[in-house]
Amino acid sequence: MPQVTMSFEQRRKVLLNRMTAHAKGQTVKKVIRFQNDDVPQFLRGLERFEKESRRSRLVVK
Amino acid sequence: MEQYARISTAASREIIPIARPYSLFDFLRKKFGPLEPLLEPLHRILSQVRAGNGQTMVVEELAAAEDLRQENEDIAKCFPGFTTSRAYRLSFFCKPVFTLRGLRGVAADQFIGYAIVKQDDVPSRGPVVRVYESVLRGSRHRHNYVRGQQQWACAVAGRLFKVAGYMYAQQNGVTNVCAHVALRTAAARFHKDGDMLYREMNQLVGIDHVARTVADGLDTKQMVQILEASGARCFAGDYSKPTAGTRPPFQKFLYGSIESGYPAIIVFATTDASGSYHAVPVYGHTFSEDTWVPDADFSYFKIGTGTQYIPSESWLSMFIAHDDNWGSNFCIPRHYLSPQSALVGTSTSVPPTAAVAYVIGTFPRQVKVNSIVAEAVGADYLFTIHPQLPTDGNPWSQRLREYANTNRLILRPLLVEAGDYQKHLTRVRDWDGSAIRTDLLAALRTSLPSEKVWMIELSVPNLFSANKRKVGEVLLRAEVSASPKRDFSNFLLARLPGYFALYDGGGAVNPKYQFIPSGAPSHVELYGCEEHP
Repeated sequence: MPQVTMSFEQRRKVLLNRMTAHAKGQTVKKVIRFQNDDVPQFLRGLERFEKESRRSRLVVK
Repeated sequence: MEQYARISTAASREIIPIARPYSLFDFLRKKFGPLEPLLEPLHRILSQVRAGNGQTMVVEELAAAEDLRQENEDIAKCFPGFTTSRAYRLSFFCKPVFTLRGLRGVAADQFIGYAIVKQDDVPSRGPVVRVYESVLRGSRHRHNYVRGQQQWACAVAGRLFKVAGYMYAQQNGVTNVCAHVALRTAAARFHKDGDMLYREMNQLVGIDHVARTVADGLDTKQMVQILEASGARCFAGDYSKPTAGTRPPFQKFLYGSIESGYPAIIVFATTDASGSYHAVPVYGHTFSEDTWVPDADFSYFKIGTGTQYIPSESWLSMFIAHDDNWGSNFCIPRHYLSPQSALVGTSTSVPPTAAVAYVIGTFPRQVKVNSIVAEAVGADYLFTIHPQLPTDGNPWSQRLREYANTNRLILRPLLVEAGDYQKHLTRVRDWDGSAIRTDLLAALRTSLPSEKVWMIELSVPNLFSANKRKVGEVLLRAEVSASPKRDFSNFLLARLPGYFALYDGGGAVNPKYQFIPSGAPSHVELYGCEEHP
């Protein structure tokens, strides 16, 4: 039988279903929104820094 | 002919008992005469052998090996009159041995390591002697942490011994420079053959020793190119000049790699009039639970006004590194180093050799998220989720909030296999001895993907440093790029006091989580510090 390859999202859903099934109704569901924009801004700046760094040519000998 | 000098046959052999009062200083003077001053790195190696209770040294003159032949052929391209080269393999044991028969009875764990010394008589340059390569077993100090060490096979009197470590090598200045030897230490961790020779590096960047030689060294872009050809993924930071934008401390590039068992490279400024730089490989660090630094203001890492924490590298006081000029396995004080950019235009007493101009962190090729990104994204999820833990009177949920309010949460990023995370959870126990529920562990075993993931561990002061325990972690995919869009493409799961938190749709605007009781309400051991087998 051919092996079924699941995407990451499918696999994560399967994990969620299996773990909630074992919880026997003890799960708590919540919507939790991000509180600030710190990390996305940091990531954009870091990406720029890393791109520029890869272009550097310091001579090592 | 063997591929490597370390496993090649010997043309001659001498077994030397080196217990006190035997003098290794006298040995070097007698063996290498006026060339001894060139062998400062070998002095350093022998001093480690002495400190490691070395009792016997076996000196073998090597017959032939492909790596040495390759190097000699390349030296001859630079100096056509070059014909004479000799190589000696020095092997060290912590058991007194006097005869060949006695050597056959040595136990595998009595092998300390080896050094290959190569002497090249180069016309117009005179004889040059150096440590071609060396591996010694780890330090005796319990505060030293070195991960990802390879096993190196070494032949001694026809018998193969093994030693774990990161290879040290010294440049010859003819076919390789300090950049090459630093690369060799790092590239070996990824290369399909377990070692990357200088000819392969030179061919990758067009150095043929005829039209182009190593006189101009390698530049940092070429170093990254060579490492990536060996199988590494590089993340680099240029600290040679000031920058206006985001720039994390250079230590984060180094720590992220070495804590996960992958080497890094530091490029230092030098006093050389040409303005060239010097490179050293870094592969370990010290960790002291009594370090004072984490309680001081400057140990915080601030991603933004609402996201501040104490990174686990605050407890690191030394990087463990080789320096081809001086030898192997040195500890470089972390706070001795400054970014070169901070010194530009200042009259500072910091010597140029302590000015960090460039750093390269490495990971396996399939890893697309570096530790700095992983830590930031991990903070984003953990700091958002933990204040919303179900209110069930768990004192650790409350303590977590209190530490968060004073920005005193600790994050530790580690690259692991997803399956290893599940195994880790099977071995941990909370403070009351409770284990993670076995039915949940079974679900994790069958449903986690087979790939590398970032585990960002969450802890609080003292619990982390003294007890080596944590209150939770978040798992992020490492083999898929992390987007600033918070699209949940990397988020796998989080675990906090008493609960797993799993994503249940909703996207960045209305992310929904299911909190599932884990069975362990309080803190558990850090990864690698598990108390149960």
